[in-house]
Amino acid sequence: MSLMSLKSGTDIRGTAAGEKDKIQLTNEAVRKIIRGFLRLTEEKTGLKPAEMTISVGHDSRVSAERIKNCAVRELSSGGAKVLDCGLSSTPAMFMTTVLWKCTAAVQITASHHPWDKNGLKFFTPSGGFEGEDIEKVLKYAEEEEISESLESLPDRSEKRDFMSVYAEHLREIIKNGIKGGSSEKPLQGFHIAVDAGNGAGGFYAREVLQKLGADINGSQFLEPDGMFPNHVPNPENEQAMRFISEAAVNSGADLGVIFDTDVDRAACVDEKGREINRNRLIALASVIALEGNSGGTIVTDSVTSDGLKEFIEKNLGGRHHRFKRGYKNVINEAVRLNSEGINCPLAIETSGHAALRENYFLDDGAYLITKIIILFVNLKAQGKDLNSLIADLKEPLEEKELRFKILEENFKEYGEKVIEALKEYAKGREGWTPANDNREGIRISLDRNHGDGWMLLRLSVHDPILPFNAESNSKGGVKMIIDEFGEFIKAFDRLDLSVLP
Amino acid sequence: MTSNDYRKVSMYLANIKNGMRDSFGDIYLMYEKKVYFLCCKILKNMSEAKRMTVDIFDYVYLQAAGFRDAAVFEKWLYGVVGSRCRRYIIDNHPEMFGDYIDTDSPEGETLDDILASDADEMAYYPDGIEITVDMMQITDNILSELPLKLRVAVLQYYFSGLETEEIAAGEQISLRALKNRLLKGRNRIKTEEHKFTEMGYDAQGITTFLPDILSTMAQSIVIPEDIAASVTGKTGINCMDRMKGGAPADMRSSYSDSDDTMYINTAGAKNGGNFVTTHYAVDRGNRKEKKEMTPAVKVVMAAVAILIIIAGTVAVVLAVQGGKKDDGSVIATGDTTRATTMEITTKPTTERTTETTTETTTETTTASTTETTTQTTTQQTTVTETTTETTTQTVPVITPEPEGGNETPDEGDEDDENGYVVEGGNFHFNLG
Repeated sequence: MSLMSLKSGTDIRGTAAGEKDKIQLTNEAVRKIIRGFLRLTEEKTGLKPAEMTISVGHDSRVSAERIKNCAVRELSSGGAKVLDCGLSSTPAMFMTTVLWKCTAAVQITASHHPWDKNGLKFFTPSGGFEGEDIEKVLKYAEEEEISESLESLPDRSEKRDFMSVYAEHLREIIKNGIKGGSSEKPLQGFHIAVDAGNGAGGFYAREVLQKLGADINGSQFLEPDGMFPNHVPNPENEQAMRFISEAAVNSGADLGVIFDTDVDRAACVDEKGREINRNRLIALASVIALEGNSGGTIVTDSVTSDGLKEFIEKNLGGRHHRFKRGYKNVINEAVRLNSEGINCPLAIETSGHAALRENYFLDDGAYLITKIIILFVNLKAQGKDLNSLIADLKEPLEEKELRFKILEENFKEYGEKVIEALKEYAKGREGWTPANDNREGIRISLDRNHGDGWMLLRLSVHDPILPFNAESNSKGGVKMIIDEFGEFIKAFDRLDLSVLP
Repeated sequence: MTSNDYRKVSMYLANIKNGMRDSFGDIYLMYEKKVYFLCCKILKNMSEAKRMTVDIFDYVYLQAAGFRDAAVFEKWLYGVVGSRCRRYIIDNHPEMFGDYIDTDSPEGETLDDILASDADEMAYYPDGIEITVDMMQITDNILSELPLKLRVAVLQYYFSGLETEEIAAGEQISLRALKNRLLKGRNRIKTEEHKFTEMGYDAQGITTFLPDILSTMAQSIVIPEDIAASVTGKTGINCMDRMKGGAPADMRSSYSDSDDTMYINTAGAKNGGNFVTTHYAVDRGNRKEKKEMTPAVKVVMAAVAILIIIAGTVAVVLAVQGGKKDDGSVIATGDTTRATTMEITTKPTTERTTETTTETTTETTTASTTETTTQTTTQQTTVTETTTETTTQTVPVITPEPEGGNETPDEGDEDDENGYVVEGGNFHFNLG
């Protein structure tokens, strides 16, 4: 198996548990990858391994311990000082490079993917490894030969509890952000339920909220369990959101919070169980980010609603920069805009990845929720709630996503051909208006007679798929949009059109 | 997982993924007994196991579409059972974790070595073993008496087939601690196997063939029908198998007139005052094929059996008359050297025999010169509703390990919820 096949965007990911002969992240593979990582880190930092301090953490997956064991032993034998941080969130591992000045950090996680998967993410103080860095790591890994046994390698790692340090960091942020409350228990009198989905986010309930005086009754699935026996820890998952909605309502919480497995994403629900995620979450995060950044630019992915654009630009006075799907894409775009002198305080995706400039553009679910809680408490003191801030956000009545599988081997070329054809098809078509601020695929607004909404067709980065999204402000509008689109797409016989309703 | 099962489950998962949700009913049927069995053995409480089984399948219904690989799905399912049961016990019965403390195993003994020697022992059974009712009952008892932590490790390894890393992660312990638990659990089973074997019971090979025995126990378990009904209600998918007979409402009658299944009640250990029973249905599929006997042979066999019983009875009478214990009390049939006994009784309901197996063991000693008793036992098990005799087989009770510290010996008689009478620590199961 080529180790290159383990590249997944800016991560390394593969099967790590289950049937033995299907495991891709074997001990040997992990050891080679870690050696490749060490070599690249040496290049990036100019430091020899003996001068490096590298932290290693993991989420709750069943294969975490095994992979961590390989990582710490390889790093130790390579000469680096290794800090074994145990169960950690992904953003926390980046923060070891800030708060503990680690040379680099390794997080063993596969985010919300199934239980038998695992992966590796790498950080330096400048941020997470990019796609080309991952390619280099894997290229170097393939050049490695493993001759000695794992057991013969020394484990000179030091066990360190960084999550306590990180939790204290978040507590301080909350204490400093809340106006006029008790300095030590500023969340006294507030009831916040947390659903960690048996991932790594359970610390937030006990180590952050409860220690600040919050009532966390109703919190659930706080203990890590790599089988995810209750629901998939994914704020985009309908079932997961239903769990936190019910927990918040049943326990009488003021706010419900949900994290994904490695806590780089979050969402919340209000006291009535209404979801604050996707476009609503982006709207709320924009309110937070634009405070003190009047006229600032919010970078989002491409599938955000028209109502969100209107909200950011008309209600908040900011600018909406609709970019591409993929959290790394939006973050890098935000960094680029800032480097060009454009005030861009937030990069955020509908998936819940939110990266604030003030927090190193780190997509940190716990940090986002921290900011939301500060806002929530301050609003309560004024007799207001979170929904009042986003009451003017116009939300679509209907939405739908279809995914067209490309049956052609050269799927990129074929997919681009379809998109170009749609651009041509849309020109001059009555009721169809291609968006002029779209940067991924083609986005077309449709008037009241043709669906009263918008559609977007784009090409998936890695997979032979053409995702199609549609939203409408009218009942039956999405069906109308899809019917009109169907007239166009059915001409392409190398697409799986069975997904068309 | 057999390749056949792998193909079936893969197909069902693919169907579900493609929107054919009804295939969840097939998944349910494939795993209902296994999940219920595992819940019963971990929780040691049938009503809690029922509720847990329904909840688990409700969750599986929601997640099944996310799986493609049948083996990955199965491991995940067993992992979820372990996780949910563990969480339930923490929340509701924390005392079950008891005073068991993880300690290292003796020097020089590693799990890998022991498992390798177990595998080597297979060579002594070139034809495998017949998994008898006795074997299942003894295994059930041994398992029930293991402390929770060891029991879960054993079940997840030998029954669920999870890897040690997977079990360790699920139990939230180190791999080393898990291996120690597994080793200790296995060693206890081996010790009990030896004890039973030396006492003449059909226990040899339990440790070696533990996965097969557990699998047979799971296949044989009688599953309450309302589980399928509840899962159907929650998911909206028909999980009721109309072809299945289901258990008779009254489990104390061991034979039914209408089918060829024998229901056997076995006892687990006491758990907080509730007797835990597990009901197995032993049918043709669990036994080796026996040759059909001609009517003439059956008559001769019956006559021989009657003569043996008469001879044995005479010998017992002579023994009783002539044999006394050191303290002057009379040695009586049925005396054992253990302070507590458990009896399991099998009983026929009709005379119609279509297939009969008869095993006869006779131990005879003279009462005057030795201290052993004369006892003739005939055990007859059938797969149809016929035997000609009632027999009693005595199985010693294993002294339970302290678990939770709240188990106290019985005092006097008490009726448990299933109508089994306990007399001063002796368990008798009267069927019918």
